[in-house]
Amino acid sequence: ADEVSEGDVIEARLASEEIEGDFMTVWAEYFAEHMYEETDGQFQLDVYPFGTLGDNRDINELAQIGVVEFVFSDFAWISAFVPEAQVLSLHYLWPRERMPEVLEWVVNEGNIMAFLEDAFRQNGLVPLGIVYEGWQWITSQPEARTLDDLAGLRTRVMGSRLLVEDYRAYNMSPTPMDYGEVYSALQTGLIDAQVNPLFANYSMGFYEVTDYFTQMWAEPFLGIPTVNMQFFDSLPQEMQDLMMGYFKDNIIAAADWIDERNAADRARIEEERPDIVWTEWDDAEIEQARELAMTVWEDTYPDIAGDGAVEALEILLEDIQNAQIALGME
Amino acid sequence: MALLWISMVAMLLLGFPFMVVILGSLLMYIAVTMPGFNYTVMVQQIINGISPPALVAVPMFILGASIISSGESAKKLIHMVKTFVGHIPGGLPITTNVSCTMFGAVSGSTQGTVAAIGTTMRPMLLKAGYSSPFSLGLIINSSDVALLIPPSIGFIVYGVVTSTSIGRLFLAGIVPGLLIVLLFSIYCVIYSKVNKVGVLDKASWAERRAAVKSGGMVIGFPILIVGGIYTGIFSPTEASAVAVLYALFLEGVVYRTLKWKALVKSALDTGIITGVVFVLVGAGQAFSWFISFLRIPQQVMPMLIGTDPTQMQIILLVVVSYFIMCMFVDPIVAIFVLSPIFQPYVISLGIDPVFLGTLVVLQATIGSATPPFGCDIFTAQLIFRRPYWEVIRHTPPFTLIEIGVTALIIIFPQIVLFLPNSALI
Amino acid sequence: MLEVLKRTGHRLILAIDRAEVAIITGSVAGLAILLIANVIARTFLQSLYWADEVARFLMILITFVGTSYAARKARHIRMGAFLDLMPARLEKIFIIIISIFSAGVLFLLARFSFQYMNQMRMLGQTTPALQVPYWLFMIIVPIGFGMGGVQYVRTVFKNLIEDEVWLSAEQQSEYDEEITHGY
Ligand code: NA
Ligand code: NA
Repeated sequence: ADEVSEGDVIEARLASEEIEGDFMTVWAEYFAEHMYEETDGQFQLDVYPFGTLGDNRDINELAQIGVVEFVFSDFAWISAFVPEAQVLSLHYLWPRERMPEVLEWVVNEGNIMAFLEDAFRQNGLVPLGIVYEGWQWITSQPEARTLDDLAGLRTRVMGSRLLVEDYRAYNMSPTPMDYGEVYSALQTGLIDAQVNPLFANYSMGFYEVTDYFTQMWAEPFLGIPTVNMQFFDSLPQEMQDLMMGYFKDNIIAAADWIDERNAADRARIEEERPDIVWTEWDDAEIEQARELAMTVWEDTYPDIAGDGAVEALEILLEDIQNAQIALGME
Repeated sequence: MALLWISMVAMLLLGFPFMVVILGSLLMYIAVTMPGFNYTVMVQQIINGISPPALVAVPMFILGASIISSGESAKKLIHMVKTFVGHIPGGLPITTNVSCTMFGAVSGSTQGTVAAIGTTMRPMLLKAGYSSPFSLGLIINSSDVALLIPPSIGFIVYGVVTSTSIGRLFLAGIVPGLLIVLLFSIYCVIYSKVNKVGVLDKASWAERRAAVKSGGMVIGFPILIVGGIYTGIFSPTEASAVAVLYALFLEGVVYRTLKWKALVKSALDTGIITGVVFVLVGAGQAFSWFISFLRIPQQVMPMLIGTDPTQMQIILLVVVSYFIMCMFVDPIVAIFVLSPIFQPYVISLGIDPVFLGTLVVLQATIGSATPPFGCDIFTAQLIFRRPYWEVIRHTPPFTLIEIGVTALIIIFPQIVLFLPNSALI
Repeated sequence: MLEVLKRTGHRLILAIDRAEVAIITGSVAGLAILLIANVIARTFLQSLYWADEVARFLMILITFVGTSYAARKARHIRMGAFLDLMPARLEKIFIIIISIFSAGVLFLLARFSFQYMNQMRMLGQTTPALQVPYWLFMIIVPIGFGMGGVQYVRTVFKNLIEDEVWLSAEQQSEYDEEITHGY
């Protein structure tokens, strides 16, 4: 790619997989502002919210072929482009306590980002960090208080093979389905449950058609801001450093933002549906579920994800352990 | 951009295939104004346009209807319905209108409705003496009302894009939807009386019993689908496959008229209609992608409404924009493209998003049957193999009724809001 | 010599026709079977998690083979209203111009689809459920556009060689099948 010379205005585009006002689009706009100010207006980034440039698969691909320079996507979607990133879809990798701090340590001090950058680069992309968007909630019609309650629940998950295996391990019946179909499928009882972060459960109205919200502490929803490799490599070093730094420096700030948003959304749900039952699993339940999740780590995951992904899991587990030690958690 | 619009209109009028017009104009536009651009995005977006899983319902409903139409079922159903409503003025078109709305309400696919109900009802209407343009106008407009009655893909998409409660949107659509069905029915009665068509001899109860005995199973078709969806046994997409299964059961097991050759022909016809419609859906998607990518709406908006618009200005602009846009592209695409543009104004001016969403989906309803490019005009053109002029000739009365309802809602927002505001959720 | 060429051409056209018909018919049937199987599987066992992906593949197949077939049979949607009003000679001229332009557009799209497919192949992207290379889904796209382009070229020659007006190489008038169309 052409080298960018000093003083040229650089115009770039970022496609977000969330709508205006939701986490990824808001933080993409903060990123754009930050870059504009720090470069004295030299770097100008236009943010395209979800729906304007195609579906999830499209926008990742647009970044890969360089039609847009940036994409803000989630851990499940990016896996279709970077198989090694599937490691982030495994259950019970992350501790329930102080998740954003652990993530911040892993991203900034651990070895996983270097490993992922290699993997992303082989696919024409460069990751700018990993951000936390709250834990995934299961909303269901029959109650999901225990592991046994999960058995047989027809549950909508994204159409990723590994996610299907994650939930199948708890004897659930994962049902991939179009996002737009989920509401009426819950309403008619076509499915019993679905998995999403809290803000999505509020904005999509899933709380209107399910009575039980369950926190298994299995899977945080993770966002991955990504830049096209050729574009990134053509930029001056200072600009690359600015980009690389932004999301890594703001993991905690972004987590606070989303936690606040989630708390506000939860308050709104509780106000509109005081009868909803909120359940958070305790250690005993988590331990049992974790054992089942481990069968996926050990058996299914290596089959699906291949050698690179197995290495990714080893690195990530070590990082997480070191993070907990560094944070004085163990 | 002006060059693009002028060349498109000229080519369309001269009889170029629509697919070629849309894609050819885009190619020319990119070549002239965006040198070095990656053309493969066009292909990506064409494929993206035909990819939503819910679209699979379209060929399946067409196939089910085609199987039924090629055998005995249609004739028996026609006979049965005729013995009951044939003697009422406007009885047949009212049946068409109500069945389309009911079927479309659950199938969620206006194109599937045109195929499934339209192919069954049109021969009956023609035999009863209604003109071909009237039957076509009635079928496509009645099918499109399905967009307002839950579950509606239009409301789901609007809810997703604007973070509006889908449950409240669903409730909001019911009254305007039923109002339109009522007004269409009144129009059918007046039309039938003025033109003195549709009134047949009243059948005896013995005739009716016999007709129900031979044709009653066909009624199982909508009942199975409606019941299956509302009880959660299958999704609208799956219901379309169940419709095929039931069609095979009826024609193969009950009536034993199913011929292998007819079945193969049904599959082929279905595939061709699907291909022709879907390549256009894809082309429309590619086109709107470029409109978004070039940020054309963001440039045009300030010119239209200045910097300090009022509530009413925004509401009218939304209505007019969707009305025009839905005449050209698929309503779902229009919602994706336009909603984010208006959303900041909607929030800052405190416009109720449920109220606005209902107006938006109503415009999609109108636009799907409005020339030049309402998508169900082409669906009807293909399914019934009638010329363009004939399909659109009798749409104005229906469109006027719907524009009237739009005005009514703007003047009395309570028509839309009283249900969602009084409901408990 | 010319006879041999003509006969081979005829056979080729017949073979293409049969192949297109078989693919379209088979894909529609396959789609129906797949969806029905999925209802049964989800009700009694578990959803076929790959059903959406296979359905999507079949839809792409139907659309692009259908595009080629429809070009051959003049079934692409167009507004024939003004064309119908023209005198035969003028109509013929317009059909030739339209067909040349259409062939050009479809050939270009065939080229870009081929490039897109190659991009996918090089980037090694896989589908989320089945984990098969994504570019395999695309193979039919350049073929469908390319074959469609060929049909418009044939239309040009047909109209140049013969006296009558032909909408496509295999279709003379648009509405000749109507009314008894099985419905
Ligand atoms: Na509906
Ligand atoms: Na309409």
